[in-house]
Amino acid sequence: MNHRFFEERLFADEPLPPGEQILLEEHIHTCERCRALRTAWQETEVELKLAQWVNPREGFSQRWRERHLRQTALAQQRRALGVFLVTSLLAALFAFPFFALIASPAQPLWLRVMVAVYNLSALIPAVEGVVTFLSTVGRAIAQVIPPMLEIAFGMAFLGLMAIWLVMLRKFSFGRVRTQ
Amino acid sequence: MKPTVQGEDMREQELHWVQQALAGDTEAFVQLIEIYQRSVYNLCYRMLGNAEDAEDAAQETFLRAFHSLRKFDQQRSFVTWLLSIAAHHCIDQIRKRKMTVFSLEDNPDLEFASHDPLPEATISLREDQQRLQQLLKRLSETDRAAIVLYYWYDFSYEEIAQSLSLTVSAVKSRLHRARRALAESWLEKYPPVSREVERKGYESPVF
Repeated sequence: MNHRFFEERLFADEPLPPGEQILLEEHIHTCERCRALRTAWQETEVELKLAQWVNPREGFSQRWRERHLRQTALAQQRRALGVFLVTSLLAALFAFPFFALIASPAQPLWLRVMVAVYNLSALIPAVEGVVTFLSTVGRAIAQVIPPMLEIAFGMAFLGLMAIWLVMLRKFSFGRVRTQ
Repeated sequence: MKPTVQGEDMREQELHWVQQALAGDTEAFVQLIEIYQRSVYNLCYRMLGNAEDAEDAAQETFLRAFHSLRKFDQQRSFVTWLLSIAAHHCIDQIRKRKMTVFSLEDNPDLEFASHDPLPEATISLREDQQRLQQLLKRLSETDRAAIVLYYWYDFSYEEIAQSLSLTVSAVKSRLHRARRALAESWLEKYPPVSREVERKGYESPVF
């Protein structure tokens, strides 16, 4: 049997068969490298077995409580932001065709102001193309769909706004449970 | 020393806290933290090599455990599950940060398990810990976790395999490789000649 065979057995965790153990002892007696490795491992193993446990600083669980509260608050803020962005996007998608639908000089002043605000967004070059597209789509829809459906669109928009406000309140101001 | 609650009553109490924590009771989970903080922290310390990272990793382990409590199989040992989360987290941290350098001098607030040791004893303990960490850092992160769980926590091959998501034969092979690497590092650091000189130093005519 070669040197490698014995070197592998130096680190075996389970006891070797008696025959192999005798051969190993004989090899160690003649092989300086294996002798040194065995002594090194025995000393390392003692070091590992006698090693002290290390304790955390006092107040570990209190620090955990604080960290948990911080993380929960942060998660709520992230959720609220997500809800805000999604509902804003949906609201915008509904709002553009709706405003385009009611953009007529015969409408009351407050509606014309809202239309003017909407028109302002068209000044932003980056969104102008999208706005024009949505306006065109809105007008096209207005010619096709009946007035009752237009009202339904308006109601859906208001419903989304209500959901958005409720969610914002729930996720932003909800109390963090600690008990 | 396996860190586990003793007796059937304590096991029941542990499960009771787990169930309360599942119902959203943070304070019940804090009871579990009180019991297992030392085990988790020690594992993180052995894996990461310094007090600050160990504290952060131990805190994160308990947070992850709290949020994943529904995934905990109540037939299994809670501490094995907890240490498994800690080991995986530490392995990820080592891979992420590529931590290689460790110095105990950077951590003056290091606390050992023994109470109020004498200054000489503290120095000696620190030297022992430093020597040990120097050895451990030579191992790959998974081999290090296997060695720590085997020698500090008395985990069986099966428990290590379960904790580190390995097969039993892979655990045996990793432990074998790690022992060899540790012995070679030891030999490199303390060659037989220098040990011989150290041992016989007092016999020198100079003394």
